[in-house]
Amino acid sequence: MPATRSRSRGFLHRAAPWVVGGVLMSVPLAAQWPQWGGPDRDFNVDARDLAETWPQGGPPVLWRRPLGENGHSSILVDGAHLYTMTRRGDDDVVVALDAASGDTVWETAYAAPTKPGMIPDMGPGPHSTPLLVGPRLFTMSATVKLHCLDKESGKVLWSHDLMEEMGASHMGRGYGASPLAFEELVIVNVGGRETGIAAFDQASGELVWKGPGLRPSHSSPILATIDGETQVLIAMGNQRAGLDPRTGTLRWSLELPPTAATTMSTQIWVEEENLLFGSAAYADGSRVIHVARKGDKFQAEVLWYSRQMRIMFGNAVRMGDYVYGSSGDFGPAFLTAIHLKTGNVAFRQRGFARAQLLRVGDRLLILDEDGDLALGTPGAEGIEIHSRAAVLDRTAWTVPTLVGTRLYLRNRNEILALDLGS
Amino acid sequence: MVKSFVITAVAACLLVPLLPRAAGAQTEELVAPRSRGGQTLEVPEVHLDLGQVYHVTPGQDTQLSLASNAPLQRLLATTSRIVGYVVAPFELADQKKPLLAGAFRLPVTTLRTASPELDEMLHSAPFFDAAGHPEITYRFDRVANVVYQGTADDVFHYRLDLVGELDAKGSHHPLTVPTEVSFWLSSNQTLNRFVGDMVTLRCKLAVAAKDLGWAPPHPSYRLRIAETLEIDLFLLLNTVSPEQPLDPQADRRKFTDELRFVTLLRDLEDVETAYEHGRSYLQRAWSDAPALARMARLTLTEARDTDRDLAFALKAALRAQELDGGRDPQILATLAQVYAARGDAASALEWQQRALALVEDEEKARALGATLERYRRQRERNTDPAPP
Repeated sequence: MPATRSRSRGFLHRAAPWVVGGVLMSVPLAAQWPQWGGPDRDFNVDARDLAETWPQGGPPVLWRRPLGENGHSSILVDGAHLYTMTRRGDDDVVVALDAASGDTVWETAYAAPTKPGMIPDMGPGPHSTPLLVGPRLFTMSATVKLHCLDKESGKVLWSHDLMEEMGASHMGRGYGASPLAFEELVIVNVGGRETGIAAFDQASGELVWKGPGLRPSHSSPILATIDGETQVLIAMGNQRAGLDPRTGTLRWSLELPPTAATTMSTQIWVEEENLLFGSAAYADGSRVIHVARKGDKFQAEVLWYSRQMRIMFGNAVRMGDYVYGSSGDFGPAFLTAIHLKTGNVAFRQRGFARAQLLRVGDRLLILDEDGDLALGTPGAEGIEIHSRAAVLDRTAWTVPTLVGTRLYLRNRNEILALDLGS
Repeated sequence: MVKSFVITAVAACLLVPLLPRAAGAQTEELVAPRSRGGQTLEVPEVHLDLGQVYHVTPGQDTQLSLASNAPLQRLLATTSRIVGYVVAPFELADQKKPLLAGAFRLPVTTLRTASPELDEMLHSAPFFDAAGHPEITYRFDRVANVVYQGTADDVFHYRLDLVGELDAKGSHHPLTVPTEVSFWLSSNQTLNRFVGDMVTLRCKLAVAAKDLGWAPPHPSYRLRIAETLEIDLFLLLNTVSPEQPLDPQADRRKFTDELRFVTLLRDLEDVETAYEHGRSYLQRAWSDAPALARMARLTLTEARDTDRDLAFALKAALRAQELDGGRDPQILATLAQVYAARGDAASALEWQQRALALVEDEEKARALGATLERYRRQRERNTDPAPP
């Protein structure tokens, strides 16, 4: 049985506070999975009662249904509703589904035609994951159109075309970073020459601040507390930086080699060690940056760099002293564990195509692009796989969503719910 | 999306005696079989666990040249169809053993000179005997005499000996090959050639012709075939398998099936099996217009003239056009190409005109227009079909 808080439709349930990992946001995100990366935007899930072994044929399928023509958006969970995005013709389609049955609650389509010169090989998107804050749902299209919708009805409340307004870039294959909430703001990568990052008022859509020009990036911004100060951490182009989320003021910045501009993966901040982990594929690798306050300023320096772990579009998760991720771009992919402080690789493990991970307590949920789902426990020399099942067809690039014992996952055309309970 | 890479490495020239063991002993079976698509080998589990696998990228370079310089004849045969892999340790810091194992297959019929008569001689029984021994194989499981030559611009250079076994014409020979090996980490420069990290192998060696099983049928061949053959080898390998489609939207199974067709038809010249596989694939892809069009084109471009089944190509192209309904200029142009190959210039012209009418891009329009002119001239001449 899934945990109780994932099922109720009642007001009491929705109003139950979800203070996320300390005080990072003064407006609590009440939903169970309100954003890219989950409750804390770090792909860590506090879930219990997961079965270690699955039946032959895989975990029970609660429901499965078609889902549009394309897209890689993750699935948000808010009580009885799921939210995600798909594609139909030249439109992005935001969908709200019933979590118990998969039935459509509402759909809102808006025109988001591809732009001339866009490279179609990753599909037209949408690639970005929506953001749910209170009654509002924020979405981003591959052509950098930001929309705010009412989560109950799907009505569009306001929108911005950031390519037109701010010179944002679709980066050829379509914008992929996911919006971030801070207090009453929604913060988004822009990647324009004049405006690199911007913040809008959640209620009105009014521009509150914009940061200086930065190269575009698929890597989603994160919030972090660095020596007592809250910052937005970005990985855009070959620049890594921390900004004041209220004003967009640059607090620190570090320029990396040009090869680091290929980063797509979301960074990991380790607050207790002041360490920032990031990874990129192609000609780059993984590195950890140490950021610390020096008086009123912040200093950042690279602690280590290694080409032995190169994460392409996948995510990385931290467990203890190690970071785990699927390393590899076009060749074979290896599930790799790298030490946070030294950059030493603990192991490389074959057996999965490029994969997304969720940390669930001391275990990892793995979904690879061929649609294989697995549950395993990482050890010193590898991940002991307890269960594995083919649950989706290729191309399954979307990080799954786990709430209680219910797993929601999708590929470009299909979405399903699995029961992972014991 | 596949681009080519330039690789460096200095070659070493060495006379390498081959010491045949028991006659008739064959090691072909000891070398991993070809993958399903045929463009690489099935890397055994033991090698997959050993380290990073690099696959040979066939078809992009002149991989091997074999020269015979005799008093009355110079023979130079080349091939670009060697397939195989090497395994390197994950950490290049182990400079004592930068390579751990590897295996290669060379289809003998892909060794070609500029002359069909010389090719026929080369492939005949007294020489390579392609009918009886279609492939030459080589495998190594260790290296020796490793010299680390330094690193420059993220390129690691070594000189070493591959210690392995050659199988040619059914004879098994231990063969040590002095080789220059370079490891190229993926960079903006290397991306001009191909994605992924790369390795290059270069060697030059001299081999006695008799050690390759050559037995010229008449003493007069002494003036035409040298006793010592010079082999110049260059292999580019990378971490991306040739059977990995770089287009994320590509169906991997279909891509592999198409590669298999090409391998059978072009590299192994097993025409009957190729079309048997091709017909089976057409059935499975009967609703897939782009796949059908690709098969029609591959038949025209990858088969030798005598091996082109134009009825097969026309069937695939017509079905593709039927499904597409005249929207995709590439599908229309493919149908035109098939008609031209069949000598039906009038139909070729008609379909090519339809393709050209759909194209807006100037460069594509120029290319289609040039082909249209060729079909027009063909119709006016009313002669042999234009080459694909």
